[in-house]
Amino acid sequence: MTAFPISAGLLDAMVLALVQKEDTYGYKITREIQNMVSVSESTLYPVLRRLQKNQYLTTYDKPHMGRNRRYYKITSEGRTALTQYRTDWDAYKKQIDYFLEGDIT
Amino acid sequence: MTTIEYLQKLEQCLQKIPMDDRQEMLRFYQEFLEDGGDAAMEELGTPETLAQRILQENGYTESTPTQVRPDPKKRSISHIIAIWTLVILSSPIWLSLLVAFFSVMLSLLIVVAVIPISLAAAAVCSIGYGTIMLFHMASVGIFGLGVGLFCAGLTILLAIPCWIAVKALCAAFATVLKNCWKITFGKEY
Repeated sequence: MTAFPISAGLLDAMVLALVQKEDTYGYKITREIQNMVSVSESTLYPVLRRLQKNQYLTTYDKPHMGRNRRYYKITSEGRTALTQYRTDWDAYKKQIDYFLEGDIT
Repeated sequence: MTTIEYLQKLEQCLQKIPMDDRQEMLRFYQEFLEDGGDAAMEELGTPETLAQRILQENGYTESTPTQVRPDPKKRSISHIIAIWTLVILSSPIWLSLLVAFFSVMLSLLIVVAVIPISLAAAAVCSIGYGTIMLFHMASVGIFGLGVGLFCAGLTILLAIPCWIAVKALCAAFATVLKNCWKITFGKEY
């Protein structure tokens, strides 16, 4: 367990950024997030659900090997939110770096 | 364990979650298993442990409902007593209103139902009368037959709309009663 657990807001921002690159589906999102940070599948589903409820993401079904795969797509509200997340993250990072990266002097 | 078996077990363990949310959730895990195969199933763990984690992360844990439950129960008992007191005290008003409502609905039903029935009776009588009179006074007989046919036509024309109206009235009546019950007692009957 890391000393800095990933917060819900960060997960929202990360998933939004992933989906912004290209429309993608649940399994791939989960895998890409898990490649970098350790979160469980049961943590990621609520993230997707919340982003949909906030209308940051919409879904559509696309046939794949004889079944339907649900794809997630970012909305314009989602893009706005992502821009805000990036600004916030930048500010946050600078605040912490001020202490941790030796800018204090 | 096949994907279907896994999902069935998972669904059984997630009964506490409202139907719509549960279906959405299962869809996510179904796709996860379909895309990820056996490795994905191993990662998710048994359906029971996965369900446990899901319930925890969505605030449906074992401990939370039992902690919350006693409070609303106490409140609901006093709530019920208050409602019944009100029901009894206000009975002179609501009872008469209810009776009036019943009678209005019943008379509406009778009026609608009687239209095709009386038309049919008029048609039968007029045709019978016309047929008999045809041999005594041709003009009166033809008139009777005409009226009879007219009534028969109207009966055929109105029978179906009236039947639909009767059914709609019954349904509306039932809905009104059901809603009254729900508003008073705050739950399904």
